[in-house]
Amino acid sequence: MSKYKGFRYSFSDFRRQPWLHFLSMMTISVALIIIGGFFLCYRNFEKLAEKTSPQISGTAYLKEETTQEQVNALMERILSLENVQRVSFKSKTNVVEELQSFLGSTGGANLPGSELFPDVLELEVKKDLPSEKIQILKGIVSRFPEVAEVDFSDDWLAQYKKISQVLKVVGLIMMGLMIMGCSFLIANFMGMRHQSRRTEIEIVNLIGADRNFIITPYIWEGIIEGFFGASLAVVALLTAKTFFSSFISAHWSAYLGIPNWSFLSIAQILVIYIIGITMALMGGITVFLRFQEDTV
Amino acid sequence: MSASLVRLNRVGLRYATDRYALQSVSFELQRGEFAYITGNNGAGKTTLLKMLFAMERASEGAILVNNRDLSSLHKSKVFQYRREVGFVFQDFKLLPDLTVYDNVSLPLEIRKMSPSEVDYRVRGVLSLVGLADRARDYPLTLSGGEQQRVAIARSIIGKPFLLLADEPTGNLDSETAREIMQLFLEINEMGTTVLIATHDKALMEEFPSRVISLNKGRVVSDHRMDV
Repeated sequence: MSKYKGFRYSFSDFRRQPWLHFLSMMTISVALIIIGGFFLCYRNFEKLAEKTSPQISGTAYLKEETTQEQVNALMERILSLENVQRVSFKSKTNVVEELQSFLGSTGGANLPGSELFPDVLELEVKKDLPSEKIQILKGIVSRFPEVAEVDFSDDWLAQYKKISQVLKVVGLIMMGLMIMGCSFLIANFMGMRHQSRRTEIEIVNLIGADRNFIITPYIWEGIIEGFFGASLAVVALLTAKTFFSSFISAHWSAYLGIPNWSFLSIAQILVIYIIGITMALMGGITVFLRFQEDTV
Repeated sequence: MSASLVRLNRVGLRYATDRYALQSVSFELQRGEFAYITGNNGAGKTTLLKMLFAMERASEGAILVNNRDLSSLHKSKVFQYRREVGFVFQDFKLLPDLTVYDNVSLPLEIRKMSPSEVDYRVRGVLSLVGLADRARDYPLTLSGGEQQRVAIARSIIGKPFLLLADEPTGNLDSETAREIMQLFLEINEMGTTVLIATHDKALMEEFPSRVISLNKGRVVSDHRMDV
């Protein structure tokens, strides 16, 4: 069958059995909404995780006798180090004031032991800096003669990163399983649907149709159903995203810190279309291959 | 080249249960011949026709059709062979969603024939079977006899050298069956070799020809009926 005739033949089947094709399209669409919904959540949660991931900071406790000139020179040296983004000085008075403000009282003299507090330098390093590099940086800073001790918030950060990594892997596995599950669901549904056209395949096979002739209408149907099923899914996801985005912006943006939620990327939309068309094609091709196995 | 179009040499079909559907069947059909295969239910008539149409494969012996050995016919070449042989089924096997015209034109569509050639041949063959005025109708709106005519038209439109028919009158009343048989004779007169499986003795007596009788998968007689 020529491609044009295959296309026409497929369309005539859409006219003959509109509800069956509509049902197929909806099944594809529902499966793609599940997959696309996962993509959407994954994309925005990733964005959220990036936004809320903690800034790595460290504190260098200075020796008692360090002068202001030495502090300034030290700040310059530290700032020139790789991976350091910001360095700020806090005198013992500032530290005590901050602590008092935290505790809800005023007047440095009221805080017992406050005379033991040292001057400090607060360091901010690049986000996502691996633990090994933090350790190296810690070593360099602690070797400066003005520095008594260095402390980085890297222990719990390493835990945080590990958990994020595990969650990412779990997410990816779940996505893979979901795609597989949906594919089997669609393939089985399509298989059952095409089973009803088994007689048709059998007849054209008996009158001498070759593989291309038999399979061409199924390919066109797969493309059409997959395309429209995916389009429906994308429109549904866009509508859902718009609705939830405005809902979240109105109620939760202050907590989450993300005013605008992202829609799927072009690549993700393409993947949805590819999965949709592949699913639709799989059903037709599966039944055809099963039928071919049964025949001489 | 042999004058015989079909040659079966000790053909057998044994199932996994060791039961034989056909056993040591041998006969020849000459080009342009008209013959019947007869026998009771389960004698092996349909199995034999299926083998000749490459729907079943012989487990023993050799089948040569137009000098082509069917036992070595590759699965991927079966469709080419079926384009050269027509088959009329008892249950017609028409596509209910296609019109009479589209059902009949399907074998030519498969061959990628030009629309004008398709149209010319479909109109010609529908006239031959007496259904020129029913071209736009759907099979389910036709009588059994008319549906069988459509099936015959579809089977001969590709100009096959061999036409096989499995109980083509089995579902028809006697008058319609007679018309269908007349049609087969006309097709045979045009040069097509015809082999019909039937157990309708009255019909064979009315349209006498060579009769190959099967019983329990074996040929028990091969003779020509008297006119």
